[in-house]
Amino acid sequence: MGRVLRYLAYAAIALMSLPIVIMVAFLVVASFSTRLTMGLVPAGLTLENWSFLWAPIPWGLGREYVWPTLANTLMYAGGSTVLRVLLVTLAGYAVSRISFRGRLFVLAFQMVGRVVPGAGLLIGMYFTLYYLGLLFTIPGVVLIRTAMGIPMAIWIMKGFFDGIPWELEWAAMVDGCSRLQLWRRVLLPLVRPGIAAVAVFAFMEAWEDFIYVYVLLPGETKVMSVLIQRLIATEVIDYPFLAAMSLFYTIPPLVFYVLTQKHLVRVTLVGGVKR
Amino acid sequence: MGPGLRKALTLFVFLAPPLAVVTLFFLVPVVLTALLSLTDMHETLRWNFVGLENFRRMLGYDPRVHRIIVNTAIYVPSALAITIGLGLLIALASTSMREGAGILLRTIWFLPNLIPPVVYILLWRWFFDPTRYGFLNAVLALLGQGPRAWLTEYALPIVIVVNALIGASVCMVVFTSAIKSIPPELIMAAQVDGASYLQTVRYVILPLIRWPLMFMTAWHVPAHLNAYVYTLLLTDGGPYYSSEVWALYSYHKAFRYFEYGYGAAISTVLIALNVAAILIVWKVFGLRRMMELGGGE
Repeated sequence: MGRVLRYLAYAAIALMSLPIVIMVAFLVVASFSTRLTMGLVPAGLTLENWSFLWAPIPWGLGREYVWPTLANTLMYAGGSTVLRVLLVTLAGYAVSRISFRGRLFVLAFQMVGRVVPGAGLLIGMYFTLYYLGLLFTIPGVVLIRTAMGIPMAIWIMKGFFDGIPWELEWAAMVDGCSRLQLWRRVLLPLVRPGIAAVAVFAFMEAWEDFIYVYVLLPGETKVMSVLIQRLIATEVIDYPFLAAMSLFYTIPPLVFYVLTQKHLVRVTLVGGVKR
Repeated sequence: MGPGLRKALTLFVFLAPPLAVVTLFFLVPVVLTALLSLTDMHETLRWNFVGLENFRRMLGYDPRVHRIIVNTAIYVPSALAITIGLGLLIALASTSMREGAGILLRTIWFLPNLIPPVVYILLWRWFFDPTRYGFLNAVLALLGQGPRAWLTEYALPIVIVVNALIGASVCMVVFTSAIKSIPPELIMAAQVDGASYLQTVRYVILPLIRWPLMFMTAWHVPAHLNAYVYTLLLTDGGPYYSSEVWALYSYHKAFRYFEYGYGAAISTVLIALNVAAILIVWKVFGLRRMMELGGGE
């Protein structure tokens, strides 16, 4: 009886997992197919769907290359990564090492930062950037996204700084290092894994980002997510072509996942929900 | 230079840049949202304070609000139930089967979290496409049936499931690591005593993972309340507001109809609900435990 129940449960779980498997299979199969029949069966194989890599794609009334969009995406993701790592390695050290009254406040703040609706603040963000003259610029979105991401990242970084023995710092201080020198010369090399975790996270978040770039960047400064969304929002969706472009756009997250699989589980756990 | 001053200076060097960014680009937007909610800000971008007019409109004579509150009241509990239930089910299943099968199951269920939102939505669009190119309609065609407009007929249920799967994916990871950290002796002892698997789950596993379980539940209340990006991309709240939820309504008012003031008022209600949710979690869990669990340590 127990065994029958267990196999029934497994069957139910397999059935529930099926849509995800089918959809991912579709992404791969469709990108190499002329068109799909009976749901998932290719009518013919082709590389034509991938031609966006070397030829311009239809866009509005004309045709456009995909490369400027890719460059924008890289600029946004790269800028977010550099800024977040810089700010967080500073703050993470301070929170980990220096005792002061507001420390608990800084830590509590990271909790609040994670729950307060980032996307619900979009209106306030829109006006903030407008008055600062940063609306519709890549640096503007980078700053917004960084402000949202650092409370969490400070928490991750603090964990890595906590792991460094105090003796090391005392030794360096006895040798006449200032706190800032100490941070740069002694500690930063030791928290490299933490920096890598924060950097991967920041890059992926920006790379996959949709709503912020959609609202806070102008139509001409397209990034990959917005380009794909615009192509979906047409009368007749060209699925094979969109599957190829989506697969291309999903490669970086997939590669990072495979490379960092062991660590990522922990980071995801820490990272919580992305919205 | 005294030691106190020196310490303050060091603190300043390390903390000023991050605090400046957070203040300017996170706290200022919160304040601006609250201020804007008291204005009738629209395309002209002129500040004109109208007191509580927006809130009066929201509670009094906006004909859509009733429907949107009902939708949200259906959406949040349903999405929450699926998020926690499915996350727990997958975590339990994947830890009770052979290691290889468990890893495969977890990898599959991690995918919704890994795939970028626009791609995730593209896949669901294909799955429910109203033409015969959509997956479900292709299956129907094989059975000799005509295509159906799934996203129009079942907008709200589909939106709930699509959003909840992301939450379930996160919960699965958290619950799996919580279950794996249970000492195996405890589970073996229960089995030696003749407990069935369901009894082991009920009397050993669930009590031992109650904190992550409660935390994830509390966590996903505001998370689902605030989530609208997938809904925006999938149904855009339609057809005729049938899948429009509170957070999405704020977005639509501000960025589709350029009624920034009214949109900000709707957002302000959302922020207030979030703060209430945090305070409740704070009370239940205490700050220290909240940060421990939130930090995933």
